[in-house]
Amino acid sequence: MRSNHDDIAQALQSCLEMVRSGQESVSTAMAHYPEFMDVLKPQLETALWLRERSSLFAPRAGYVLSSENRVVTRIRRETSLVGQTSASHTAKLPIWSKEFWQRKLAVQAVLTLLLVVSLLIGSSGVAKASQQALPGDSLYPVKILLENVTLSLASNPAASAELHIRYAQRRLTEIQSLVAVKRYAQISQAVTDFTKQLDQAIKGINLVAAYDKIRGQSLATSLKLALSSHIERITLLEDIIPQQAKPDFEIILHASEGGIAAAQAVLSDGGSQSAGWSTPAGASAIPSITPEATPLPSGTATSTVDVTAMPVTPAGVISGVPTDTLTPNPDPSGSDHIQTVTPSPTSTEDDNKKPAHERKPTRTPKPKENPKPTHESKPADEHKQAKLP
Amino acid sequence: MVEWPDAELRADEIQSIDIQLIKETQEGNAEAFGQLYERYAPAVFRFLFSHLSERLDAEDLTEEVFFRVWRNLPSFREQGVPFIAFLFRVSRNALIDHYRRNKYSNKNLSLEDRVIVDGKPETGEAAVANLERQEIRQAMAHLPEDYQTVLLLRFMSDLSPDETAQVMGKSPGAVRVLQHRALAAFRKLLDQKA
Repeated sequence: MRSNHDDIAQALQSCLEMVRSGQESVSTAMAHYPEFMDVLKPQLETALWLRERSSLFAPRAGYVLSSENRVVTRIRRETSLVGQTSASHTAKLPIWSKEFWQRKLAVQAVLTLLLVVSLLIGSSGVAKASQQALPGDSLYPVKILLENVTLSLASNPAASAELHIRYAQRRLTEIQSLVAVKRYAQISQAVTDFTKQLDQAIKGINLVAAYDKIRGQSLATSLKLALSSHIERITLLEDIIPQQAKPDFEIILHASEGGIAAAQAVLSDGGSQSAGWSTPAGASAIPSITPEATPLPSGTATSTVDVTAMPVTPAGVISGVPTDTLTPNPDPSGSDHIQTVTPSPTSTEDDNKKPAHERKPTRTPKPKENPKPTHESKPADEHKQAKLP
Repeated sequence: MVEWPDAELRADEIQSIDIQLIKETQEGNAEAFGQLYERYAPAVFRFLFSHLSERLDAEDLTEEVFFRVWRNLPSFREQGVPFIAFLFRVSRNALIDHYRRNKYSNKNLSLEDRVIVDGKPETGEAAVANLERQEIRQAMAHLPEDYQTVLLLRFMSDLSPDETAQVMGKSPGAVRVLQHRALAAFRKLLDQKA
């Protein structure tokens, strides 16, 4: 009896995986286990019924984004970014190593300078308060000054690139905050600074990748992840901002896409083509967004924005493969038909069910010469209702 | 399973991205934790809201879970337990603490279930959704705790069998059998109700 239970459990799991991957319908999956069909059928239906109802328990529109901001703000409040990073780096090195003392000296120099700057400004509280400042605020120049001081004391190109990535992220966060408080006039300043930081970050990553492939790829991953995350939000915000701010958002999106392509190039070949991304001195690596947009640096593999390599959710990833259940549903557009997700680790099903602003953006990809369908939709009459009998 | 820009990422790639984000968070990058939040919050929320009748409670608790996770990151070891298992263990503990604090009773109807959804008068569609949620919670409440957990992790939060096993501290084989028994029991309850 025990082994029978194990066999049924194994068969059930196998059927669930087959149905979920879109390889099989409920009936064809069960056909692999004819001896257990009577037991498997109601259980599979129940599992699919439950999965379909998971959307009933989904977060409300806007919750994830707003709560993420709250959590991140709370974390920022409880930690001192510069201090924590420096301390953790120093702690990893043996006390007798030369690097330990170099870093220690650098940390001391940073702290001394920060102290001096803080004293000059009036009090250390001002420096701390400046971290929350937005472009246009009286304390914003203090924030930028502190960033520049930290950057000038970065001990190596990797640390410098890391800081540029972080500051580029910061500018994007500031832009989102400016939109939230409807201070659109200050967005341009943040966008300009964002593109500068991004440009420096890309150059730094390529430089690091040239002599330390692993570190370079790690930095490229950081940049790619950071930009991917912000692209989604910027894309969502683009729909609600006034016309005057749209060109700035276009610049952000194009620059971010360029940054992702550059990071992808480092990840793909370890930076062997990294020089191709670097622009001549004085020129910006970020493409212009004017109607006659300056194309990304041409003639190099790294300079092409490869949309297929971009971490965006492809449109239409929901598998159209219907799942067999008992009652045929003549109207597949009805809320009861099941959409079986692919076994990919991303929750494409969720994305589909979530409100639009919580979904990953589906930026229009460049057409491919031989586009392959991401899924094959079965005819509508194959969709069945997910009601329990 | 989870939302992520790269639709084709494998489980090991997701884990390596998680580790990278955790490392950055530990180095003081709050935005990196924001990315982890964005990725996993919906699944955690569904798990919590399946247990709690109040949406606002589930929202508060989701944030609390992630804040607890952040605080416990120094004790999190990359080896062995994947981040998602760690996250859902914290979620379960937070839920238990919530029950203790509030002496929660399944018999109480939530405010949302009775009158209001998201501050607006209840529409017909919302009323149906509330009823369905209530039915599922009530049926679940009749199941043993292990059965509830396996069903919610697998079919509400969409965890894989391996991830579910890691969260529950059981072998994948034990989770398979538990899933089979839980589905049978849940189906029986629904049939009786019908």
